[in-house]
Amino acid sequence: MTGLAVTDLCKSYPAAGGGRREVLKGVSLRIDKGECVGLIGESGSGKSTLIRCALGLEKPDSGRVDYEGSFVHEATGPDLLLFRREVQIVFQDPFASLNPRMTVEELVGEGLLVHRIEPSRARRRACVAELLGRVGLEADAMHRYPRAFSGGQRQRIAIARALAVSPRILVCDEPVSALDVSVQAQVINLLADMRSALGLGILFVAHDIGVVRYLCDSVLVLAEGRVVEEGPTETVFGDPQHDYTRALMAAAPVPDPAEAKARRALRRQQREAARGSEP
Amino acid sequence: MMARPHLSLGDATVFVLVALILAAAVFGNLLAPEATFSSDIGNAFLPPDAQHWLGTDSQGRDVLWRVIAGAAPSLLSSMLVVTIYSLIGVVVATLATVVPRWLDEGLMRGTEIGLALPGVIVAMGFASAMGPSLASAVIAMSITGWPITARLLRSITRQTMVAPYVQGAQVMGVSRFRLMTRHVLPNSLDVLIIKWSGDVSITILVLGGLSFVGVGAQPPSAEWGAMISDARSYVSTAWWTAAAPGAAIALTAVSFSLLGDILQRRLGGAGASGGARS
Amino acid sequence: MKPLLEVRALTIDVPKGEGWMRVVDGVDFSIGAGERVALVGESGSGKSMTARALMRLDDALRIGGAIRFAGEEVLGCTEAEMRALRGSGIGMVFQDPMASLDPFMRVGDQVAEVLRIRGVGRAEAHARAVAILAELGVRDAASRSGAYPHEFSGGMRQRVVLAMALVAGPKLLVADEPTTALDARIQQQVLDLIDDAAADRGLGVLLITHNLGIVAGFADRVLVMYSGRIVEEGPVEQIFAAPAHPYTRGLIAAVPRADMRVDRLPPIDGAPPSPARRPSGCAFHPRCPVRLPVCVMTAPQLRPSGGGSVACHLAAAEEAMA
Repeated sequence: MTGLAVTDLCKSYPAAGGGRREVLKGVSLRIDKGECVGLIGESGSGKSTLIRCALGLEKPDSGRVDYEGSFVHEATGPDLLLFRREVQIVFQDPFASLNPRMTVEELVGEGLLVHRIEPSRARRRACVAELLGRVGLEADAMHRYPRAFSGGQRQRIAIARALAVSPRILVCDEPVSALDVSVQAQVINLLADMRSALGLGILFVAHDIGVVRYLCDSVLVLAEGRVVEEGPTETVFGDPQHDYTRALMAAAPVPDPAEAKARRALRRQQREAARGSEP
Repeated sequence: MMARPHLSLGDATVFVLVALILAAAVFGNLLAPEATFSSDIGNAFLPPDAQHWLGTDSQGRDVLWRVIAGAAPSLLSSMLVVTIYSLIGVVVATLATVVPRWLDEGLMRGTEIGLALPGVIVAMGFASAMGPSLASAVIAMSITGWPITARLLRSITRQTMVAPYVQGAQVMGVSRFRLMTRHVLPNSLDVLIIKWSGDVSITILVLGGLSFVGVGAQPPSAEWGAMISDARSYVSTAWWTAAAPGAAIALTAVSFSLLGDILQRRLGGAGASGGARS
Repeated sequence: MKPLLEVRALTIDVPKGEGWMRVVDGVDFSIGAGERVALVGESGSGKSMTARALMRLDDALRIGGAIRFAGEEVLGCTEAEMRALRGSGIGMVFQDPMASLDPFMRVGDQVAEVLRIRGVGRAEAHARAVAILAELGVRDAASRSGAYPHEFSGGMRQRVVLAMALVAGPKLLVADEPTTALDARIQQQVLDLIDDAAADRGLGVLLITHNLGIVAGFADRVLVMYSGRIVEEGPVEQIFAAPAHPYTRGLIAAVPRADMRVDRLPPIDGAPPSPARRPSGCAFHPRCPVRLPVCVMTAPQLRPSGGGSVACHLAAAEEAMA
């Protein structure tokens, strides 16, 4: 068995008015190396909790997370070290995901240092330069701090930092939704390139159907802590079966004025009909 | 590049004042003439004039020089107190951040007990046990001041711990030690630098007060509180003997308090990871 | 017929250090009565500054040029006249509804307040507030109007803000990224609400957004802003079907579509410039795939092209050849 597998994950938190709020109600998913899995979820769907549990940052109430056949939440020693090296994350907000007190060289080289991949400072610097080149940044970027870079550049730095330890699985938590529209495609394409060049498995978490449809082979739709629909991307989005998926598809903006205006007119008719039917 | 805020006249004034006071604290004792520390009863209670700008005191010593020489025991002891308890606070907060939750809870309950101990009362206890001295006041203030710092820093590290860059470092398998020293503390300590300055301002007042009531520095020390204590019998006839050290305490306290405000303005948000999109 | 809103040669400077930094550099546009115009731009384009200038919300800005609303010069208004204009002339909705709401005031009172300061009696103001909240889809508006903002979800809060913007009967609604923080389904609901409210009242709308996708179904006309200037303007159909500016073309091509599979997204290189470091000539030239030598030297003027206008040397040259 290879890759990262989440099985029947449940997680609840104490609710404000007493009792517990179930955030995940038995979620299973699996990412193999070289595979790109999309996870669609709106705010409150439980996707953040799922990511935190899958990365071993939080313990689920029940269910399990396996990596390479070992149970992540009980892993110690070499197994844990392997997991901490081979599964990496890229966050949504590149302004918050890079330590503002570290230079790009320290940020990108940190994994090489802590996993003792490249203990020599000079060799590490050469590695960092190569990684920066791979994500499309100049090598002299390494002497500067994150604040000197634009959002898109910071996200490249975050990707270089994750790639430094040669991960097998990359979890991407809304990696482009905080970026300028004209920059998003650069980062999406970079992830696609890295996946094919390095055989990376990607769990791509997003609320934007367009991005997932472009990038992912298969997709899961998460709603209120449950996977309501899953399958190959084109099957799910080409012919959505669950009402929730259909509603998401219908709400996604269409960059075609004629089509978008026809849909708008239809919705307006439906609203008026609904208004007319009320007493 | 983000431009640094310009140095305004007000800020510059505060920096100059603090620098002058620090210079007095470090070099005052070396520069003061011998007569500052010996009595010359014949010249007692001379009002301010061209030779003695702030007059002389009951022992005939130059008040201006005594105020300058007093900067060392007054200010350096306050800075020592705040530095010691800030370090204790950092250690406690750091421990609380990395240990399991139950131990964190325990440590924080401990700080609450510490909070309930007023430094002034402890200082009086120390004074009666060890004999009143500046050292006993400094020790008492140092061991009672840390709980507020510890709690403040703990609440900040709690926030910093959930910052995406800290979580990312955890995912990368960074050790707890490195997590604290490279990621959490450097992004949490800004507030302490600001607080340090404000605390020095308050501690000067408290230590001066302790000396004034006789449980801190003792005469003939030129510590400002002790000077006021010494001068209180002559206030009606020789007001300058009390007014000069009083003004020195006030000026120093205000300067460091303003320094804290300026640091707050300049450092505040520097470590924060803001950056809104338009 | 005179347009409802007319903006001419608008410049905006923000204070920076000792001097000023130009963030909007000569913008012209107009909005007719009942017309929906979208102002599209990325960070640093100056789109939100333009909105703030319309309402004169920020005293720290230095605003030049002319803004005429219903024939009246906005920049010459006194503060009292501005207060009258905000609300009953131009209503405004912002990205973050919480920033527009008082957390300690019942939502019904906040909506009624807009009328109260215009001299409407307490009972009538309250009744109209409840009516408009109901119209905007707040269920049980009579009882829900007694709730506080924190008891509402993001989408519901945006309805309250919209009610405040509309209750005094403005002629123009300025919506600055009104749906950016919301999920797609809520985003669509809020846009539909604005759509209905505008249609029912014959309201002009200026929708300011970074999201070209939501513009297609909403706007009649689109203004594309880049680095402080309008680079293209035209009817929405033309902008999407035949964008004339390389930036507009790039923006439309770079957004992956939910309704079909694309093989390769062609990205635009580089990033939008900050106003502090605006490139020479055409501000887009460092990122432009079809740059001409002249683009580095001189900034192109906005000139008519098809049913709209475009500021591009290449487009102008092609027009001249044809």
